[in-house]
Amino acid sequence: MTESIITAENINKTYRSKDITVRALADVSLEVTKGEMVAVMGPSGSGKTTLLNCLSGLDSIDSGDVIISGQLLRQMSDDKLSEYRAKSMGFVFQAYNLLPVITAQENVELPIILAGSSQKEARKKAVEKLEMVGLGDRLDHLPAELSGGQQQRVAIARALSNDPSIVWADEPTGNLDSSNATEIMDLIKKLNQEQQQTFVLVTHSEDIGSQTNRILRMSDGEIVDDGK
Amino acid sequence: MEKLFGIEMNHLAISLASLMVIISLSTILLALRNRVLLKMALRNIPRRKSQTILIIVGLMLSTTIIMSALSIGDSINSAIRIGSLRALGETDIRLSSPVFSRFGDDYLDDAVLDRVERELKNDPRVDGILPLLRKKLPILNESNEKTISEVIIVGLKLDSLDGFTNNIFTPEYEKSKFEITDLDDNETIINKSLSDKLDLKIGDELTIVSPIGRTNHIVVEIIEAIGLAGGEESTPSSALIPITTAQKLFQRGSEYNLIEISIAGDVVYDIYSLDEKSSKEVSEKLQLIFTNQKASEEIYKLINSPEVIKKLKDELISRESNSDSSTYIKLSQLIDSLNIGYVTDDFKISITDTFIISIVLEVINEDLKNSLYIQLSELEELEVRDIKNSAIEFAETIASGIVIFFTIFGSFSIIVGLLLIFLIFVMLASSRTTEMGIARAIGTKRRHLIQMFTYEGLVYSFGASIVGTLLGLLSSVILMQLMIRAFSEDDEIIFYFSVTLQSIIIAFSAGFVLTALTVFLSAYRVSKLNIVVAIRGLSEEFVSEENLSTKKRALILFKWLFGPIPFAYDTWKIWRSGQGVFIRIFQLISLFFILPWIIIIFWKIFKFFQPWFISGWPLLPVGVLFMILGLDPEKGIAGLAYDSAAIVTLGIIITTLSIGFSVRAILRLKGFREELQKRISMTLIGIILLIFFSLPFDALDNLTGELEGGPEMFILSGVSLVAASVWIIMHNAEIIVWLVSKIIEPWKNLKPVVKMAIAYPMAARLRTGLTLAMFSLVIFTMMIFAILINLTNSIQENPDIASGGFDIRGTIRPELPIKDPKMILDSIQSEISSSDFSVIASQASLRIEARQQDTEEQKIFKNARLVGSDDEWLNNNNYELTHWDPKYGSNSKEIWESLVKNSNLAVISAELIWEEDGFGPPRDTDSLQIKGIDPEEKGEIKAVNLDLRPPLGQGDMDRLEEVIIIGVLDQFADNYENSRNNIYMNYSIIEKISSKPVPFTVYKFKLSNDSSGSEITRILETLFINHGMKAKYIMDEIDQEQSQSNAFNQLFQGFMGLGLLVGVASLGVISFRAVVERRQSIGMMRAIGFKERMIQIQFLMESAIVSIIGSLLGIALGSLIAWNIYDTIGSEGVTFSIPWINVVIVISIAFFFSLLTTFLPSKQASKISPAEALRY
Repeated sequence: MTESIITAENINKTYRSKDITVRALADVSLEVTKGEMVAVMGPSGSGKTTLLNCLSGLDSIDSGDVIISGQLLRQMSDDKLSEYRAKSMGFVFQAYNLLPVITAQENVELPIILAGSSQKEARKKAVEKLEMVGLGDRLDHLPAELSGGQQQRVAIARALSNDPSIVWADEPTGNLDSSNATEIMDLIKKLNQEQQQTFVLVTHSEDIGSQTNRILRMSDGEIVDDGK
Repeated sequence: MEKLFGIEMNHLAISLASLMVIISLSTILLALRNRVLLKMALRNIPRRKSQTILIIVGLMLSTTIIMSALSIGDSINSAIRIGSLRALGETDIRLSSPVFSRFGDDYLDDAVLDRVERELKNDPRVDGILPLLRKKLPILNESNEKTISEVIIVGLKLDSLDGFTNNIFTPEYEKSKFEITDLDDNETIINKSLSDKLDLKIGDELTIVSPIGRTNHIVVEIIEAIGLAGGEESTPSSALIPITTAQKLFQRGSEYNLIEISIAGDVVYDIYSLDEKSSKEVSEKLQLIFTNQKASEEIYKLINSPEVIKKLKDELISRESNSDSSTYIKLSQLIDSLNIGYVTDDFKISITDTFIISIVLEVINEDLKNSLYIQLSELEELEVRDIKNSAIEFAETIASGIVIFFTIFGSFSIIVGLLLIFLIFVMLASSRTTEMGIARAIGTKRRHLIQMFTYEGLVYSFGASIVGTLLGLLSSVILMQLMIRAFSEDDEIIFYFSVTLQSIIIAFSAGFVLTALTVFLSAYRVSKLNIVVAIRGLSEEFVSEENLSTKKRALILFKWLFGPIPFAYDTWKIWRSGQGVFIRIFQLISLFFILPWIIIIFWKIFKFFQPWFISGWPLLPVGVLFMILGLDPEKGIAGLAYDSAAIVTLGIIITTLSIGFSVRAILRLKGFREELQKRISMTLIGIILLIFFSLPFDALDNLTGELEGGPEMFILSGVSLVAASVWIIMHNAEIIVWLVSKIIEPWKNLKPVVKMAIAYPMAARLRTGLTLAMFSLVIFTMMIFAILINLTNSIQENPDIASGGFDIRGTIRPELPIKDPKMILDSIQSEISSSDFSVIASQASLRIEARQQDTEEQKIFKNARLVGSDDEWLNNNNYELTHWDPKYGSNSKEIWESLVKNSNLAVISAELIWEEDGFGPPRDTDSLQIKGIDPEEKGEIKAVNLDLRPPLGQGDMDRLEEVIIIGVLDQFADNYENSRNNIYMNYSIIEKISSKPVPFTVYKFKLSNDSSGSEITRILETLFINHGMKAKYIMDEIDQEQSQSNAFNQLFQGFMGLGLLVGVASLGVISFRAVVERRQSIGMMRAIGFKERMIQIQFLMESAIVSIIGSLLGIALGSLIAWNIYDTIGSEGVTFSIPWINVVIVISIAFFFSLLTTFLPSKQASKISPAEALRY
């Protein structure tokens, strides 16, 4: 249980626009062990989303190192990283970010195909995942035809489609009402317990934070409390 | 140019410009009333510079195409115009003997000259009267043995040169002290062309070969080839000599053959003046003066009887379809004057027209006829030709013909350009749907959205019109270079770039107005947006219009029918309530412009019936009604048949829609899935229309009769054909998806990419369908043209079609006839003798008047040219016939042989067969047209009988010669003759018809061995210099013509290339927009594991799929239509073939550039950082 799956060492990230420089991450170091469910909390602009993007390799860092499952992200090419994301990571965003032109099922299938499975296999797995999130009857709906809660569940199904070791969730319940939010959190907790997948959640809500194993608190780009 | 599609360019420019001003002003007024909207609308323009540039590029293309079509027309017009003005110089009106133009040996004496001078003495419009003796003769330079077979020798009356010498010495030669009036009898002034060809310098001697033999003349000056020394189109060399010398050479006492009149000009082209109005007035004045008053009165008396007037009126009615022809106008003037009761000027002018006279001769009895002949011979004392005006008119006709041709083919590109504008706005709108949905939600009205979009759009349109006009000018400058280069060796015409202000105004405002209208339409569509749908970002497919109840629709219709009244009431109410009323009043006023109101009424009527129409069957009677209304009177109901292909086509489209909708309704009743209902019914509509529009043009003539339809039908059917195919494809896109996924099956890695590359276009079917239609339309047009160009090339493959197997054609001066060409060849010591030729054949020609027997409408005598050939020609030509009467022979050879035996048998040119107007220029209504032979139905025919008679002054017009037409020549045969309205017969018939001798003037040679044709041709000219032989090696002629027609084709292809640009641009614009629109999705795709390259490939693949399907469609449909055109106009010897190499090149270029334009945006897309893209 002490095996570390995500390690960050002194990572720094600065955004520069015309005349403003924002230090989004300042010497952040942290460690997340396998199967952990970690909440990243903090006020708006404290660097939560940036941290998540940098840890998951969606964004680059200025200095420091991120090691995921023993691999140094800095040393991976964009192609490698993309492949890695396809096979071993899942993403859930506040705005669901489903691809609007394909159906729920196809949205879930896509990462499976990307990871190299056959169409048939992908279909089977996608249906399975959608059933797991309770959307077995909405397979052929386009995202726009689903409610917000349903869309987020599709997004979770998509994130889980390749049975990733890490799932990144950026405000997964931010756009949902409380009953939908509770349902989504129950689902996440269930998955975390059953599949031993590592979850990193960015959230505003103390209520959601309290449901996780550990809360990381951020302020002005620094971790002020690593929850350990 | 002055006219386009029959509309004065000035009017076109003024009306388009006013329309533009009205649109702009009303928009500005509206905008100023509500500045918030204006501000909101315009803020996007400077903020998103790259988007603004992209939109302007997309919007400008139609303007570019219009501008380049117009300026190419201007350039060609200007080249021909300046060409003829150069040749005419100061001459505006040319007077000659009334018989001169028909045979060429009648002269004018001093008495006539005196009279002309007296009549014009105090006329301020005239600044010069110059009698001339102007003839073509051979000239040689004995010192170097160089010869020219045809030089225009101009004998000048040296004391009458006032008004003509203005430009005779151009600046280059001004330093010369020579005075033209000092020209001595044995001296000559030559033009540059002559000096170049014979290597003559000032002081050299040249030799003129004339009927009195050879005479020597000293060159005292060399001048520019303009004005009096301007030569002619085909004979650029010219020499000026004193009139007295010329009179000696031609053995004429003190006679002239021309009197030239110069008008003091006001409009100046380059250095030549033209006063159109004065020139016309003076011509008419002279025409009246030189029409014999007594003879006119006698003729008036002869034909002024109720019986004749009635018959003339009948004639007039039968010609109504041709009511702008000069014959029609003059005939109606003649009838009017007969009704007035005395000889009017109009009467005189109309009876001097030979065609009016032939009509009159037809309707009167034999006794009257003889008396009329006597009077007619007295009637015209002098022929007056308004020559400069006619030359200008000719330039105008050619140039506007070319512009019309360009516009017809270019209109496909223009349509594509307009579609692109529409597409851009649809995309712009869809990228702003959420924003606009919110705007609507907080209370913005529908018309506010329209206004905002229109403001923004108009600013783009304005920018696009400016850029488009400039780019159009630039591209036409480049395209004209092709023409300039191809014709640089040619003496006849010099091309250069030129454009008129009118054209610029027309292109600019037409571009602006078209763009503005499209913008307005798109804005209207955008405003229809459903608020909820917009905010939630549903695709456009989900938007359905609300259905109003019958009562509500009726109410709306009623309101609009009484239009302004309820509108005024509403306005009053608004005003009472204290709200801003300005816009309402403005709209109210604009309603009084009847046209928009009528359009709205029609639209509302349609809207009223729309729900019923959708169910299908109610459309059926409407469609059938249109079909019946459009029929040819022979097939349809009398009085209700409008003989219009457009109406019939409309009827067929409506009927097809009706069938499709009905099928859909039935399927719905049967409980089919909605998707399937739609697919089956829509595919059915597409297939029926596809079949209809791909039928040969005359396929339905048996049912409908031959219908009237102009070039608009070609455009309509082309666009509909492409639209129908795209329609079918878009409603069956799943098949293509399946096909594509099958094709890429082996490449596993590509699967997710392909999935997305298909999903996006499929999600926006309107957009995809439009792009596909645009791309196919472009390829379609290029394809048709590539094939049509290939058709004409077949002459080069088989020159015998055109030459008849002869190698050299020599034309001689009629006043220097040859007795026996073989004798001359053998008697003169030279490199060649008669044994170098296997055949030497001779031909003579005579203008005659002819009419067809046994036809009602062709009782009138019309123009044709009789070509009398010797037996050598008749027995040895290889011309193929397309039609023949089996009674006289079973193949072309036997038909020609039967002409040897019987001098009353004839073969005619293809041009003499009457044919419904096709793509070619309109036919001369005064030329003979034979009916009863179907030009398309090749093979055996029944002989047609003609009556021939000589023209006035050439023999007894009363004695008719009956002639039997037993064959028709291929249309490319004898292609290089001057006239193509030829009746080929045995020479002996000419002697029977003409009272004057008609010598052989054309000699045709077949070489024994054709190794050195060009060389022998040159030697022949020298050998026959005493007869002024102008010889042409036919192969050279074919090559030259081919290279020039290739240049024209290239010009045209370049022009069509602009269309390709539009197609390619559309793909680029779409990709650019797609990158912006899909930022977030791209981020997400990257997050779930798409690699950079995969994103890039996806974008490229989207374009590639559209361009490949578009190309395939374009190739297939283009070939089909080209085949239909070939089927209609093609003839023997022309083979249909698809120039695959060209096609592959064009398609590859299109494909390459469409990928290139997508490459940039796709690169941009792949570089999007996922974290950044997901942030908003």
